[in-house]
Amino acid sequence: MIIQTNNLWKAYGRHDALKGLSLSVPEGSALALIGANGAGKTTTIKVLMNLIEPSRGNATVLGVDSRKVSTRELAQIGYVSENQDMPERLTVAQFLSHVRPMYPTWDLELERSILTALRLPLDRKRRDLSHGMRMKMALACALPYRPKLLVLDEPFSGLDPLIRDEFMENLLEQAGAMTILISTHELADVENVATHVAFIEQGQLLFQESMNELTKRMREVHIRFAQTAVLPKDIPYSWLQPKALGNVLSFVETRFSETELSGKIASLLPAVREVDVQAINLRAIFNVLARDAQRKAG
Amino acid sequence: MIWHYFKKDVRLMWPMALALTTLQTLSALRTVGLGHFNEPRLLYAFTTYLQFLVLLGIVVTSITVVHQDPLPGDRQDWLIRPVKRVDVWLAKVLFVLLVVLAPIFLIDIAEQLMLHLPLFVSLSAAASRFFVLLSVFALPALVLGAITRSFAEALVFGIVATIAFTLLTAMTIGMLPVGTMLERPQGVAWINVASAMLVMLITAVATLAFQYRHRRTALARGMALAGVSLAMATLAGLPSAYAMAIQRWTWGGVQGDGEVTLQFVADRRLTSVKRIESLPLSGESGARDAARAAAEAVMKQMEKGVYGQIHLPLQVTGVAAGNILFADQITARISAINGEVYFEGTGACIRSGNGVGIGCRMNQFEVHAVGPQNADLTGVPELMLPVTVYERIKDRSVRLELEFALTIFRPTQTQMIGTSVGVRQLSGLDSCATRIDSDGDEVEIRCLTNRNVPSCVAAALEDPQSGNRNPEMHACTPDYAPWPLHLPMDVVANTQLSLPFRDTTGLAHYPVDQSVIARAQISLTTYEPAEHFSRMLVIPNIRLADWAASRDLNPGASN
Repeated sequence: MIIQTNNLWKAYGRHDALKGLSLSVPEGSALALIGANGAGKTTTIKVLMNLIEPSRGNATVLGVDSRKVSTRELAQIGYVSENQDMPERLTVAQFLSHVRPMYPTWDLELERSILTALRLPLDRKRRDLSHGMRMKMALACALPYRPKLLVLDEPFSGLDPLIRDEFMENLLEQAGAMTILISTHELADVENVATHVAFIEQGQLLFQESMNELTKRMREVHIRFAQTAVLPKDIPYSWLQPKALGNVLSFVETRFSETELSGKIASLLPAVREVDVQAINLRAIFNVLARDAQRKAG
Repeated sequence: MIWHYFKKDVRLMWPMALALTTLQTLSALRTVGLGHFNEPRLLYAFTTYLQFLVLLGIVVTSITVVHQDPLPGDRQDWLIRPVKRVDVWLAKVLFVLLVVLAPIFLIDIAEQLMLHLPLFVSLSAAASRFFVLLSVFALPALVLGAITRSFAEALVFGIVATIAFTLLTAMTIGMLPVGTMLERPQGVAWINVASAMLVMLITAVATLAFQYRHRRTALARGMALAGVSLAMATLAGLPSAYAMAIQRWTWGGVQGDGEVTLQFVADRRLTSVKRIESLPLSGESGARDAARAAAEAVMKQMEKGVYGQIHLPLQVTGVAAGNILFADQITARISAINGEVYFEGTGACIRSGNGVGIGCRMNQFEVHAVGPQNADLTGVPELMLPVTVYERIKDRSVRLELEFALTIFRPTQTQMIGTSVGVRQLSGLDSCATRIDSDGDEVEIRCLTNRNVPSCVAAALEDPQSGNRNPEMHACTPDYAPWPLHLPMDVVANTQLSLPFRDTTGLAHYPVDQSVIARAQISLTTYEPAEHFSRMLVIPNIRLADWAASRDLNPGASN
């Protein structure tokens, strides 16, 4: 594992931002850390980058305890965050010149191609750049040394769709053999790049799995009855957001298997006229899971 | 990466550094341009704050260079770059040394050379100021930068800390007996200053190392505040016994035993003694004298309610002709005949202050042996006992033991200078100039010097034709520092003395007066400490009320 966290806790005063988070990022994967604002995504990343220390538990990054992440590991990590304070009075070119010597593996050719693709104004000071341009600048400073691990903390926040697509396009072009950890509250943003997804809510990991498995097990189910639909007394735990509207009962099956679903329907719901099972997109999956988590949290 | 970060900071901060260097250049040009008498006065008044601006500039620039890569917080880009934090720290220190302080060092040297001060001493003085600026201003400012995120935060933190320290100091002083701060002997005051600077230096280095290594801002702030508190406590309250012990260690070979004896002379109580005038040391003459008199009156009044004051006439023998005997410190022990100790206390003899419990007023234990008949000097130290102790024991027979820490000042040389001459180099006093003041009643002597002025100076006006000579005036401001400890304001100090030759009220007449002042010469004798030793004086049976200050003596010394 490139990243592994074990029972990670982080408290800010009386507030626990992380509550026993255990997460793993396999080498070569692109893990999307999904969660609503305030779920603990940024805190997790800051612990991993040794920007803050965990209150309890531990994390390893590139095989090293996060508290001991040093120049050797940082030389292999690219980091892009919406909240990254860089020297405001340096131009893009000056800042690139500043960071370049820090990385022995810096590839000038790659830098040139990234700069061309991102169309960054080299002679402009950072303070004169738009938010989107700033994010591109951060990306341009994180890729040319071909990091083993790329950490992106809410990289799309505040970006307009055009810039977002451009950003993703460039990221995908350069991704190569990198392991990527990308935090976002919009799963749809990372649909094309993420191979794995971890869902975090109120400092706790709700689940983590590969995108393939996730999309395979999530289905939207509509059951049509001859008469008015009624919610069964014992709704299976895997059915989320069940609702009865007219003669249709709808829910999201989170453990989809055709035979198991048929069995459950047969045992719980009499007089079924028609069953319609549909695949759902990642945005819908996220919404369902988020609402369910909120409901459980009360 | 040190040099790399240094270059980045230079690229970002050169305008600020240039502004600071310009300020220091203007400050140096001001000192050179205004000359010995600080004229024109208008320019002097308008540019008075230039030196403060330089100090402020050092602080602001040092804080700002750290804030280029701030430590508190978790959003800084540099923290996720593969750069050792110690490299960044050293880059900041390098910036302060090379970009902030080195130009000031060079300008200081240029300033001294423009004033025709010797090169070697100039180098040493500039280095001394460099060290003071580094330990008292630049490094603490780096610490302030390292424990704050922005300049606004540093400003707020600095203001809050200053207010807290001021209140704490005021409360502490308020709880102490009057004069505690002045307990230490004047000559060893440099030890407090040097010790406080050392504490500041160690605190700054330790806090910076800790914060750059661990980035624990709350703890680092605690360390910094504790260090500053300790430095302030060292500056104000380092026990005089420790200071004297350190001083004795630095004196080493110059400690002697002398031939001096002290004897309590009960029959001298009503002796009429001639007052030796002290030289005004600085400030504007008229206002200065009035302010000094007013301050002394207030102090005396205040002390009456707090202290019982006793004057003890002492006969001093063994002071060689021309030498000055000065008591740095007196330790008193008062006990009953049966051995019960009523009081034990230490006080310093300084020119214008008081010690705790016991002290020496101006001229009250400083005797000057003039001419060959020097066997019969009288000094009158003043003991100030807490009034509760005094009232309890004043009518009893007590045993009084006094231990004196004494210094003999020996004249090093006498030099002559006219009363109205341009710039002249005087040995030990450096670049000096004289003139008659605007009131036409005093000769002003101003010297620009880059080293410690001699501890004692005696001056007299002489008429070479008639051989007349005005009463000699002398000033002792003991400073036993082994090296000059330059104050941060300017590398060159302006020392001034004033010699009166006309009494504007017409009551007094000077042998060398305005009629011959143009041809008169000033005889300037400088003194340096030659011997330090202690003496114990025991008065086995004395009734303190008999020697109360209300039955006042005319203080001073006779010969």
